[in-house]
Amino acid sequence: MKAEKLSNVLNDLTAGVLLDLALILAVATGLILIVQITLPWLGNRLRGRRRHWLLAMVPLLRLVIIVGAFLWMVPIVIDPSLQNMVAVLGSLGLALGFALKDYASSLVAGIVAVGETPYRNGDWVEIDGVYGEVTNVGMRSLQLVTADDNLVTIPHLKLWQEPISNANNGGPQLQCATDFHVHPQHDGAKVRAALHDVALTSPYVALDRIILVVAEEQPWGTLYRLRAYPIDARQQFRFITDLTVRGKAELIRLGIAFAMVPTFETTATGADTGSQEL
Amino acid sequence: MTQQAIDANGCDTEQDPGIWQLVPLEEYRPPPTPATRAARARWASLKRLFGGGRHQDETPARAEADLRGLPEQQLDALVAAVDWGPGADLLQRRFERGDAVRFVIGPPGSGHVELLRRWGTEQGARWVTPPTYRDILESGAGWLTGWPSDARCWVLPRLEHCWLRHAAGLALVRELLDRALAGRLGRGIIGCDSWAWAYLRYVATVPAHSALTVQAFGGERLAVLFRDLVTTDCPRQVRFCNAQTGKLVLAVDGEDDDEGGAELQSLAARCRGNVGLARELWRARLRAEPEPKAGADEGAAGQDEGSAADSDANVTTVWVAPPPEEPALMADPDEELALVLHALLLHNGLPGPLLAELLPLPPFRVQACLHRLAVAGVAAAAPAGHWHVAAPGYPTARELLQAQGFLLDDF
Repeated sequence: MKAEKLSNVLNDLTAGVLLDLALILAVATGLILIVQITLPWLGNRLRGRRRHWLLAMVPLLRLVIIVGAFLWMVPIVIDPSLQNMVAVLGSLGLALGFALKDYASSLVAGIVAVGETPYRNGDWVEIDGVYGEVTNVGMRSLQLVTADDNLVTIPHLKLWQEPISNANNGGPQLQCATDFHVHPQHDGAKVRAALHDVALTSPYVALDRIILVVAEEQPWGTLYRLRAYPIDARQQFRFITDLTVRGKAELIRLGIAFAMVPTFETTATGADTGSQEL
Repeated sequence: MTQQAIDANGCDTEQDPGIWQLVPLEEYRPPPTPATRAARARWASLKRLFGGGRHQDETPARAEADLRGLPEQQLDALVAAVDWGPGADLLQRRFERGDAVRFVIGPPGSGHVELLRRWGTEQGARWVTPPTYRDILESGAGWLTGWPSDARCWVLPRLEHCWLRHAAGLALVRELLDRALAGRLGRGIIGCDSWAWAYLRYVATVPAHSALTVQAFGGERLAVLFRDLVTTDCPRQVRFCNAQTGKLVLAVDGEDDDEGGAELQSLAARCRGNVGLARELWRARLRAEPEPKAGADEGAAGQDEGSAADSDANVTTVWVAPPPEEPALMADPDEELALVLHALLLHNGLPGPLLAELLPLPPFRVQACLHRLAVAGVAAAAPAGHWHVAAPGYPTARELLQAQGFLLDDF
């Protein structure tokens, strides 16, 4: 009786039908592979917005291919009546809900990520304390490459609970902040002007974006944060290094002293005496 | 007859009937790119993207290997130096009626320094040499106090050599511009390279309204100029023919056909209207027939060295070779190369050791980049070790920097 009911739901799986299914699967897999290989290859040979646009197209096209293949395959396997569709898809949903809850949740979050685009290929994001460039947005997870060149795989599931910090949000540029810790006794206007010029003269700086020097008084001295944009997001670490190295050199040239952490010397009696080096 | 008027901004505009026009900077209009050239450029860019090489599609009318380069003397007769006299006259008319200090801006190799030299010579102006690099880094107080203080006007031809992209390299140019704009330096003209001007707009006070430039040369004006540059030393009529198609490009004392006009339009577009660069590229493309073998045609060989005697004995044909291939550099754009090129363009040339001080690259990497650029024909060094972007490589360098999102000039 059960077998009879199931045979009413499913079409006859003849050799021809199986061949059709295999062909659809093969075509869909081939198309996905082509998209996943060619678009990132092309995108990485471009710069700026065109690169980000191409990279961001990968998950969207893959989703379209998968949905298309699924819609094509379902009527081949199932007799496409409403009753049958509800029965099969409902069973499938229940199975996924119980057995593969997190997996299914990641898949759904992956679809949401394609629509809401909290991250795209080429974006620089921080998720759960991991910061890196998104290199692949898959169906279940995304992959980041960190500044240490580590590949980190994060399930889309994080989308539901974790804040996602996106530094460039689909654009080619992002803001970089470089810190300078200066001794309390100094001419603040001079430091601000010098740091502004340090950013203006960096070969990496995007001159059409704003350059800001933000100062903040601290118990140990003054923290200056130099905020500027590099021409390309991928230059951010070289840009920060350049600003740091040249900023230090310029402040030293101007006779500005840096704040330093206190060092503690142990006296002969064993008591610690703190002294701050300048 | 020159017509003069005052425009809405208070700038005088002149519709000069000649080929020279001095216009405010914002009125500079690069010549349009012909559709065929644009399509070819896009196709070349696509081929580069997919890693394809170049290959010749057409069978040339004269194989380039059969042709030979012209001797310098003959090149000088066919493409003489530009006469900047009319441009200097126009500049003087602007200078008489304008601000105390005017700025003349030009892209690299455009010849604006020669224009200022001609103007300075005619007007007896003082020629102000730029400060040393040490002066610039030390704010150049001594250089500024030594500024000419008599009533004569002056000309500072290279503002781009008065600053460095270094945190300590901007104070001097800021002070110089402040003094000049406040009228404390007297009357004079400051020349500046277009790349330095584009950068200085972000770091100093530069007056856009006082800046003039030579209007871009399109194909038609290039044709007039190239005819003018053929000196009267040439004993016979000259016609320039495309070595690939065999068609006429330019005829001196004659009419060139539409095909020739397209060739010069394409040249103008490639040079973005830069007249000095167009002259350089034109000169570099001229070729002559091979030397006739001894005894084969003694009459023709005796009449004219290096050029072909046509059936009409009064006409000399000079072949225009196809534009040189783009340097392979574009196929594999490299950030370090781009940084070096950008620094060279912003400063209109720099000594190698100083370049290493200005860039976040170790000196040996800078040297390696310079070597690669030199091999590709994009950069060249003067005997004193002063590196600059070579004229034939300039369009490629600009395209590379544009592709990588660097600050560009307005030309």
